[in-house]
Amino acid sequence: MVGGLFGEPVSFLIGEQSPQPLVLPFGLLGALDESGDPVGQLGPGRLQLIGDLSDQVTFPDQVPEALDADGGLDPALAGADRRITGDRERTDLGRVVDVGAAAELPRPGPTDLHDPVSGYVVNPRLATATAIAGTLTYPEGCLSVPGPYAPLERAALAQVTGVDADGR
Amino acid sequence: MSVSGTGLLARCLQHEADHLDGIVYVDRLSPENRRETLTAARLDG
Repeated sequence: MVGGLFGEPVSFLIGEQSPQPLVLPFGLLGALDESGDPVGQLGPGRLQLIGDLSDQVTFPDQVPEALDADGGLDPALAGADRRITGDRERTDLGRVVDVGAAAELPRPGPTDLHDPVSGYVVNPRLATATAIAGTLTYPEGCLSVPGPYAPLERAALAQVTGVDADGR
Repeated sequence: MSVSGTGLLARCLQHEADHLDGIVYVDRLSPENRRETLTAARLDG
């Protein structure tokens, strides 16, 4: 398992653990507030999902949805989209290794994959099981889109599979 | 190795795995909710 952080597969029920909307800092997994402190009962510790550094993803300058019906850039959404990019850069504190953005994030140094308070899943592959567990709708937020929360339906059961800090 | 979870943790796993694919949760909202959320992010920031 991941650095002993979560032990055996963890089950949390939305509503019992976090009465407040979640803040999910970009690149970090877990319920952390904007100071990086754990909220709810996911902490202490963090779990990072780390992709393949050789498989860097380049974000588009604007999401397609920022285009208005005529194909032009919606000024309101364009502004928000620039904010998203800015926050991706701002939230990189050296511990953030979300390789989805690695191509544009300055990384101060190598990440310590044996950080005692963090766990890592390298090259994670996500699987969900809505057929078994269904879905849940819950307010979700993200530091990449600071401020708002919106209800989002997601699978109630998910699993990431990858390798740990030692390549196992 | 693998990490699995339900509810909150399941949501975290999906949220963060999305980031690795260049997806933020806003991308998964309905067009109406997406517009509302992006506008709020701009105004509230």
